[in-house]
Amino acid sequence: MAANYDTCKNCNTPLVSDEISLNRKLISRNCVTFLCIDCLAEYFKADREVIVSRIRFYRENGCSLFK
Amino acid sequence: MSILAKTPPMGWNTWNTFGWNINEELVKKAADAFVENGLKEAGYEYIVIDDCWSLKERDKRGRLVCDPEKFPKGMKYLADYIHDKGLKFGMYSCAGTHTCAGHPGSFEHEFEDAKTFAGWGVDYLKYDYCYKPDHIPGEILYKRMGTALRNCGRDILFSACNWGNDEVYRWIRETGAHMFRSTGDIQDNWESIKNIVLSQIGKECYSGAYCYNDMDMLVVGMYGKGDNNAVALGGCSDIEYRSHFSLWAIMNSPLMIGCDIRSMTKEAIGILTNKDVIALNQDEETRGPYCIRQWNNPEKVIAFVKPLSDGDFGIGMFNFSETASEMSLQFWDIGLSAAAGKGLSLYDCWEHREEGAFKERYVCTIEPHGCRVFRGKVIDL
Repeated sequence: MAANYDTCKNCNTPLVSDEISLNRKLISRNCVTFLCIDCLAEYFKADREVIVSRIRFYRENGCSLFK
Repeated sequence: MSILAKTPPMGWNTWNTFGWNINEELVKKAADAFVENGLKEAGYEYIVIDDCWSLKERDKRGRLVCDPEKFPKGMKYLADYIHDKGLKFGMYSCAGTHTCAGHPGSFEHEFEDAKTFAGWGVDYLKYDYCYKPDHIPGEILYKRMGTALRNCGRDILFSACNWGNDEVYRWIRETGAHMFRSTGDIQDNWESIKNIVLSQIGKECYSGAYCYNDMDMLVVGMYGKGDNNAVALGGCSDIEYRSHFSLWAIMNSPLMIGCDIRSMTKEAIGILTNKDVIALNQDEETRGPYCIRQWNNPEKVIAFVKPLSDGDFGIGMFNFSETASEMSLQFWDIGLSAAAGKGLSLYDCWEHREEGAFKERYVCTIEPHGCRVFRGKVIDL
C-alpha cells in the first residue's frame, strides 16, 4: 500500500502530525496511511472528544510519539 | 536454569486499568483477589507491575530505584508477598534510554538491571521499546537483555514488547524472549481487537513453544473503565469479550488479564476462567492455529483450527461482521476427507456440552462479533 502522510485515507482531509501519531498509537506503529480525528472516532465508534483527549493525555504523559 | 514458558504465560498486568497510578497496596490487593476470584486455580500465575514503578533517576551507583512513595517497603517485600501466595512477580523496563512514561530505561544497563531484578525476586520482565536509539537495531537490544536475564542467576521470563516492529517475528526467538508483542497497543474497543487479530493472520507459524506471539494484554472485563486513558475507549459487550478471549486463546497468545481484578463482574470471571477454552491455549504441544475463511464471506467470517496434542482439534469460529452470519467448516480442510470414514464429535467450550457428531462439515450461524468454540475429536462413522 502506498504511503500517504498528507491526507486522510477515508475522507481526504489534510492531516496534522498529531493525527499521524494517534493512528500509530491506536491502530498500528507501522501505519503508512492514516485517518483524521473524525474518521478515527467513527472507526472506534467513539466520541470525537474522547479521541482528541487522547492527544493531550499522551503528550502530558510523555509518550514519545507525541513529543 | 529452568525451562520457562512451556505453554503461553498467564497472569495480570497493571497497565490497562491503572497506568501510572500503581502502588504497593494495590498490587497486594490484586494478588489477594487473584486467589479469591479463582484466577490462580484457573492457571494464572504472574502479577506484573508495568511502567512508572521507579524514580525518574537512577541512584549514584547507576541502579534503578523503586519509588518509595509508591512502594515504601521496596520490591523485595512485594515479591515475597506475591511468592507467599504461590504466584510469580513481574516487572517492567525498556530497551531504550527511557521507558514510555519517561522513567529510566535499561539501555546500556542491561546486565546491571537484570541483576537488580534477580535480587528482588522478579520472575518476569516486560521489556518495552520506547526511546530506542535509531542507530542500534532492536534485535541487538533484545539480545542484550535476553543474555543478561539468562545469566542473572534467577529464572526470569522475558516478555519482549516492541509492538511488532522491525519484523520482530523473524528474529525474536533467538534473543531468548519467551513472548513477543506482535501488534500495536490494544484499546478496550471491538475495532481494536478485530484489527489486532486480522493483523496476525499469516504469522501464526511464528508462535510456538517457549516464544509466543503476544497479542497484548486482555481487555476482558474493563467495560470502558480504568484510570488509564491510554486503553479505555468505550468498552465492549460480553459477547465481544468472549470472542476476544477465545481468539487470544486459540491463537496461542499469552493470557495477561488487564481489568481491575478486585472488582470483576461475574461474566468477566466466567470468561477469564473458562477451563475448556484455557485448555486449548495451554495445550502442551503449543502448535499454532491455521486460518480457514468462510468461502462466501472470507473477510468477515473466519475459523481458526489448532491441532492439539491428543489428536483433537481446537476450533474457533468468529464473525467479524455486523450481521448474523453462517460459518460452514468443511472437514476436508482440516485433513478429514469423506472417504476416510471419519467425522468429528464436537464439544462446545462455552456451553460446556456435546454439540454432536458430524460428518464432512459443521454449519452454524454466529451472532455479530460472536464466536463458537469447540474441541473436536476424530471419530469413526
